[in-house]
Amino acid sequence: MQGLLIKDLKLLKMQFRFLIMILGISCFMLATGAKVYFVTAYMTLLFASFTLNSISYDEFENGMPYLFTMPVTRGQYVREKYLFSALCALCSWGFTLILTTVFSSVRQDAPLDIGEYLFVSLAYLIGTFLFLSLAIPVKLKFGSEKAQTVLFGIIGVSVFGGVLAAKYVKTFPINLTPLTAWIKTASAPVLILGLLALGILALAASCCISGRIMEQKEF
Amino acid sequence: MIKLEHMQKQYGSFTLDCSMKLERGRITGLIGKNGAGKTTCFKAILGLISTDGGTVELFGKSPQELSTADRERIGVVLSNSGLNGYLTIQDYLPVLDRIYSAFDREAFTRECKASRLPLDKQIKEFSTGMKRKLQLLAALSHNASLLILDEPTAGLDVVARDRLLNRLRAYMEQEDRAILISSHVSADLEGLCDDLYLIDDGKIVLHEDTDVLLADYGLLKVTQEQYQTIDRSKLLRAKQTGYGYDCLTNQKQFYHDNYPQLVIENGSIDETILMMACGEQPC
Repeated sequence: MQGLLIKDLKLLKMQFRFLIMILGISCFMLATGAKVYFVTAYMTLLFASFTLNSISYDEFENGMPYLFTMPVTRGQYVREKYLFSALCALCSWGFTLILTTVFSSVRQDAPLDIGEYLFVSLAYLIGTFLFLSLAIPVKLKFGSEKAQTVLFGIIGVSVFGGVLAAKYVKTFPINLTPLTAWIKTASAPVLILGLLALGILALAASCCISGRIMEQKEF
Repeated sequence: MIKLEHMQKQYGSFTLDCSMKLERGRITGLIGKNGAGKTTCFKAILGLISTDGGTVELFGKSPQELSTADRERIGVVLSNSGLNGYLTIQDYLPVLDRIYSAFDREAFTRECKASRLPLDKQIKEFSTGMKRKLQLLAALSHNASLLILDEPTAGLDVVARDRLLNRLRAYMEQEDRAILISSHVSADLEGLCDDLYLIDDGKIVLHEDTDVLLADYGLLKVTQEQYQTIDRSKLLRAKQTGYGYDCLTNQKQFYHDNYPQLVIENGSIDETILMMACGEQPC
């Protein structure tokens, strides 16, 4: 797995200019008064989604068959992709936290509520994990070309379904009041742990699904 | 080292049904026209595709049962796939170092330089021949005991091809090694392989030692009248031509001795492929 991680890091290094560009745009946004919350979400998601590109690079010029003639199992490949994605998401999230905090001090904004900021940022990180949990198996299943269309389709349907659900939630025979009441009264550490558990569970379930997809895949 | 017994794979109307064997210490060639099923065979052996029937064994195990240690013993060149084009050879050094425990970094770097492969250029910028050289050097870089080479000479000029074949001969000087190779260039295989399998339309139609094929096989060029009078039981295939028939036999000497008036050409791999693929069973 170390070999695969090194390969993906080398591929990430190749996108260095693009990463710098994203960083530049983020700094510009922060310098011109953009909300730190928005920039945090923007950078974390964008940096993490770079890891998806490594799958496209592996597929370049039909490279997958050769990769799997090496002493690399399909399971190892999948686990490495999740590890790499999670590491990239964590690193970009941590870096963004530092960057936004620095800019916030320089801009002499109203002092950030650190607790609230950390909590919201963590929610963004978990959101990124959820996105990766969806995007990685879709990318492995459909390949780089079709994956984007499928992904947009799934997200579109999910958003539409969410809007409908929110509109008609009261007509459902499910009582969500205890859940909302629990969220409102739960302590911050419990909520943070709950969110983390949600993200890790999503990644683990997605990793299992991706493993199955790869086992069935023919090259 | 490799054993296929009625290994089957179905793609639409195409059915592959292949039985073959590669033994230790031998170089076995797989020949056939485009679309005959050579690459599918290689993919099935390497576990890149599932099979619909029969058995595939490498080192006595199915491809799915191979451990990473087993896979380290295999060096591969694929005709339509290779190392990641966005990386350079320099980038790949630590990757191969981690993936193969027996990777000889210094020797690999030296060989790449000797083959004039730029270490700091993206592999996608390489020519087809350069990519083939690189794949072969990678396959030879980790002390593999089995080489599976699908069209390793494609895109190489005569000199590079000759060097590559010499490298393969040198590789075989060490005992307990074997090579399975396919090539469109029959001259490559004639001088290299111990035995040859001919695949046509998904089926193995011929298996012969290369020496026997070159010594005993022959092409009879006969007229309509001669075709009617000769003993046709020793003919493998016959094909009608403008002047009569071309007939492939594996008993050239029999016809030399009994029909001295016949025009008999020595057997060649190209003629054998052509006759086995396009000829008919003599009636």
